[in-house]
Amino acid sequence: MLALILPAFLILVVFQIVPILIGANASFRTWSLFNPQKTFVGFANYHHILTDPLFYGTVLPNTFVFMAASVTAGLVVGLGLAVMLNRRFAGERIVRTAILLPLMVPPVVAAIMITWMFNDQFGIANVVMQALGLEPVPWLIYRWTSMAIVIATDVWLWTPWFTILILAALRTLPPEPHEAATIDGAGPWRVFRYITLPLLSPVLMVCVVIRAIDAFRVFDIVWTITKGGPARSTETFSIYAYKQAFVYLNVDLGSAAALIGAVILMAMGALLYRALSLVVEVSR
Amino acid sequence: MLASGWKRPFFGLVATAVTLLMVFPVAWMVLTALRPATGVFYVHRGTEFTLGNFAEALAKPEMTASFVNSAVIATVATVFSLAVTLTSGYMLSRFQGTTSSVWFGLIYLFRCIPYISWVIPLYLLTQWLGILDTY
Repeated sequence: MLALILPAFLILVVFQIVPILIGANASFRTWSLFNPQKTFVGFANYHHILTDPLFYGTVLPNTFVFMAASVTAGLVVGLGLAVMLNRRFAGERIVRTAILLPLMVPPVVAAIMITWMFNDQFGIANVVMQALGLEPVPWLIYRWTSMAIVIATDVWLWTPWFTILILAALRTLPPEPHEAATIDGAGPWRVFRYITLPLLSPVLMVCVVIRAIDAFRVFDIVWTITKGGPARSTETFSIYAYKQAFVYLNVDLGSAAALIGAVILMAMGALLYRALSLVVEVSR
Repeated sequence: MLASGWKRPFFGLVATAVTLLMVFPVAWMVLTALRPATGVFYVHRGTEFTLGNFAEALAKPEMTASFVNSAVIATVATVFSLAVTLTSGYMLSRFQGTTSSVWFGLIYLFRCIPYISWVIPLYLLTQWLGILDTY
């Protein structure tokens, strides 16, 4: 039994546990890339990050807003689309192919395209706004419009993923409870609310757990669309840690920030996992 | 299970809207790619189209090199991770008990660590090993 996990365990140690320890070591010392003194300073770097108004005032709220908004929207829209696709209609294939399209676009490519579409002078979004008689909006100049665009891109990229998983689950649901409920006089909404949703809840929960963890550590689309700007106001936690280390060259602060994020995420992961096992247990 | 009455056109409308929303950014990307350099800024105006952009991109050696890079990374990463994790997956599916739940917990725990937490240490590690920027 142990021999079976040995290869994976070795890889885990070499590429995950050892690097984390190296990072932890750097986070307790003064260590900048151009001046690696490596003096031990204890928790000073952690104190610096945790008392940085940018970190607790902008970066953490941004990260949680991004996570909550993108997972909620993806889940709701994905569920809606899955229910919609779970029936026969003309043009079903076209719609299904179209919905799968975002899955085949690399996130960075999608982000570049979205940035261009929301360009303040040449973007199609402002052309449409003007055609409708509205003022053109400099989308990437303001904090919340930039944030909204980043979130929308993420939702666009990941809704198909929710749809496929939920649709697959819908197809495997037993028909009997639905029939029984219909015979007992339940309307479509009640059948959905009291039969379909509870039966789906384990799958929904798995989706939420996976996506929440991924969304918390988002880097690529934020980096491509806003680089954390304007004026560092849309930085998420990954961007913040990256900038500390490789833009301001403070490896110590970057490591500390990355490890603080890791602790938050691990705590959240544990909570989500608990919630997941609870849901799965109840539905059994 | 076909919707009836007023619901049908409504359903069709929603389906069309969703399709357009999903297709539009990709379609727009394709359209932009087909415009000559002068048409890129006003993609919605003018009717000149060209395949020259593709020819130009494919003629660049760094373009082919980056496709080769992607292919190499994808292949090597898939083969290696499959080779390493195959037995561990087998173990998790066949055995229950403390060892397997501890192992699974460990995997889940490390999956929760954001990849940015590894970028810095791996940078330091490769620097230390002297293999930084040697591909």
